[in-house]
Amino acid sequence: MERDNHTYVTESSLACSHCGEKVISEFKNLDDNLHVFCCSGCRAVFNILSSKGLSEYYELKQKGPTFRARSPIKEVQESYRYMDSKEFEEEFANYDSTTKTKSVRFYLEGIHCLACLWLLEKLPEINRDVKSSRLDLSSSVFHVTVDEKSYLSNIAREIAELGYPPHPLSSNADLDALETKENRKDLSRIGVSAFCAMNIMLYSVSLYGGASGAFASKFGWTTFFLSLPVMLYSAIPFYKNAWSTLKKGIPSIDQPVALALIVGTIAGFIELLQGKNETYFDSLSVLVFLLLFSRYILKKAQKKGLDSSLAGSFFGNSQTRRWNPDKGTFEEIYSRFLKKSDLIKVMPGEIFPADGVMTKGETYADLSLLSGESTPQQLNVNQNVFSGTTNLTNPVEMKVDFTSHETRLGKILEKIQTDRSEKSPLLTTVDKFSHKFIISLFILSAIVLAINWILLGASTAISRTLSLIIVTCPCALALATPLALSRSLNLAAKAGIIIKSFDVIERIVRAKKIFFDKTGTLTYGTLSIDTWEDLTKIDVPTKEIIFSLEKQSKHPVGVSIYSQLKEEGTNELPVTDFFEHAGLGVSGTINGQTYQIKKLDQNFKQENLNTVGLFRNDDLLTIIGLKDSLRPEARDLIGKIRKMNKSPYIVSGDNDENVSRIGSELGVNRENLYSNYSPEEKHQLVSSSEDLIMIGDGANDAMALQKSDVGIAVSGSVEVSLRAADVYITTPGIKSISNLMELSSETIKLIKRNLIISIFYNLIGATAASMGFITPLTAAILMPISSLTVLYSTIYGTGWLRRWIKTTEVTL
Amino acid sequence: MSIIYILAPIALFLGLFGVAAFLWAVNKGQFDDLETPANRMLIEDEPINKKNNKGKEL
Repeated sequence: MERDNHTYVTESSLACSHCGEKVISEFKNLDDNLHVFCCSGCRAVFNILSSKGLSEYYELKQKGPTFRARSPIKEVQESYRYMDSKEFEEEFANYDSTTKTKSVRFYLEGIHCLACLWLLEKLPEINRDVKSSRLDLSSSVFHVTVDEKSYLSNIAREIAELGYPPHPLSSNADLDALETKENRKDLSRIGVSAFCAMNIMLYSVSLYGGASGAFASKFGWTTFFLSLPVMLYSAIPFYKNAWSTLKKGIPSIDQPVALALIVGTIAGFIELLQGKNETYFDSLSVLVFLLLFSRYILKKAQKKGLDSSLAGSFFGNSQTRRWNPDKGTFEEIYSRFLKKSDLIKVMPGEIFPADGVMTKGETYADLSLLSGESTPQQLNVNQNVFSGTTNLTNPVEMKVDFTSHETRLGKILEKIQTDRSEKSPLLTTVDKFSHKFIISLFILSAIVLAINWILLGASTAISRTLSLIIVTCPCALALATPLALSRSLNLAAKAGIIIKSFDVIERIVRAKKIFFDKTGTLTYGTLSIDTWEDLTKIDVPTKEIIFSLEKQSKHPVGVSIYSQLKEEGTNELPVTDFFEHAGLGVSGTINGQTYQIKKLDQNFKQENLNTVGLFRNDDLLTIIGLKDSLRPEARDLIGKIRKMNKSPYIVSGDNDENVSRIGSELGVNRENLYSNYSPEEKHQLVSSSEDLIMIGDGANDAMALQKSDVGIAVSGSVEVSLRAADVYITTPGIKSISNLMELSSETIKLIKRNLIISIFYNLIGATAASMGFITPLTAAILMPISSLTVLYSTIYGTGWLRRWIKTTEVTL
Repeated sequence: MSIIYILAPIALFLGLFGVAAFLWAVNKGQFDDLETPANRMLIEDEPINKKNNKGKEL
């Protein structure tokens, strides 16, 4: 590797050398001025890669394709020692006694490009314990096989050091195997039908072309034998579906398809026995191939959404420290193995792993996950702590009362699981249409059969009815709808919107009410500086003073003030005698003067704002008003929603004051604001009305997300919400929601257009067939033409869809 | 035209061979993951070169 190859450094001096993010405050290595980093995490990974001889990573990253957006690296703090416990290995590792190895599967955070693949599959060269390593790029699942004597924690730490925090996946081998088997079966069916259909067409063309005599009958029989694998093997899913829906008494598109296949094959066989060649084997087998293929594509597109949403579901468990009375120390264990009355220690920045009572220390915690309240809460000894909330400031100890599914969070999760299985499937426009279509088709066939039988006799009647059934087979419909839907799902995924099931698209179009959560959805979910009032005219660098003092503060308000000033590029002044008055404020000496920052009492409280003040001795110098500010795109989104004739609502766990402030800023009607709502009340509210969309992020929204017709979880949502929602937005903010709505309405427009085209074709086909104009040759021409028209319409899309594709391609 | 009696079976046999190969590949799991192998082949299969890889020299 030459010096010159490293264009990634010179390209922009402000891009992080590791992750490429914009560098706000520079991190560098002491003796290296060439490389700049956005954070210490990226710097650490860069240094590890260089020292291990893995710098080729950066070259590959430049050349290779990128699949996902990249983000800065969190610094590794976990030791992963809990992975060495017996209970962990039993649950997560697979042993192979013949090769003396064990294998584990991890979900890795931060997989995004070709270089990631290279790096991770080089693991056996870096670490001798690793026998083999395989990464699945599409699901970010990493499979490692290691020597059975090696420690899993070492491997996990190694992976984390490379910049990919691992989350162990329990080996649900059965489910995976089933899915693989299903996928392979689908592919085999498609392969067989493709081979047979193409060969049948070869012989059919010569028959249409006028093959006669001995050739004609031999070719006829060849097409029959070639169609057998299609009808008896590839088409099985249609028969199964048709039968199961018939038993339930629901019309389904598979019923006329199955009927056409069975009747067509049997009638063709009889024709051949009589020495004639009026068969439909070619049209039918092509039909089977096209249908199987389009359904496979839709399945794949949906699975992508499901895979990505699964990704979130592992983050709930992490490591924690449990008191071991025998050794008298805290030991690291996996939070899943916690038991009642265990004593545990939770560090700042960690999520409380269980419900319980504080036993030692005091801290601030972010409870917004459960309550939706934006201001951090103080926690003291003997107060209750809930699983899923975040410890913000100090290490504390707590006694575990409830674990996993017995916690409040766990109960919410459980409710979600049961609700999900109860969620009724949507009867889509296409379903409704095809129901009518199928019933009228059956009635029409009966009429045609009867009339022709009376007028022209049995044999003509049967052959005309047969051609009717085959030519009106709703292939255009069955083909185009899955393709249109899967295309929209893929387009959305490209733009960072992950849709878990396709009926969401129609539900969005139908929805009349849109409920927004406030904290974290309409707002940023963190406090930021709103007003800044310098009271003194004397030249005091208040900004610099506040910046320098808050730099050392651990209080969440202090931290957010500091980080905001840091972004503005404020200079730091040297501070001596720094002191943090827990829960009250900070003080310190700068340039010989003592300054203090503390919360202001009610007298200073401005409307709806939290205020803090800077004091020199006892003189108030500056008043800072803090609030959880609105996302800039929120107003635009609300406007667009109104234009689509949907009404916006806000439902929040926060207090009246904050909710009505946001409401009036956005211009949402007073009667559409709901404040002080608990998760259970939100759930109640959402279930009381129909056709609504819920948009939220916290665990307090999860039940509502699940219960609503469409639940949309925004970026940064907690794991529970990801699991509960139907749609997950991966790009920050709520901007893409309006895109999603437009995409949905355009997709439904497209599907309706396809319906009209296929009705038109079927009307012509049905008329021609009942009058006896349809022969196998005309069917062989007419059917593909109708399918192709609809396909063209789907691929060409609507004008809006074309523009959308162009813009998403540009931004990617 | 009797050559068709030889050519048609040959054509069918070749086709069958293709299907058999496809089914074999499917069951061997060659289509299970469509994304990763397509990218894996872009990577040079060379051992890590330790010599030129001191971070500070870059």
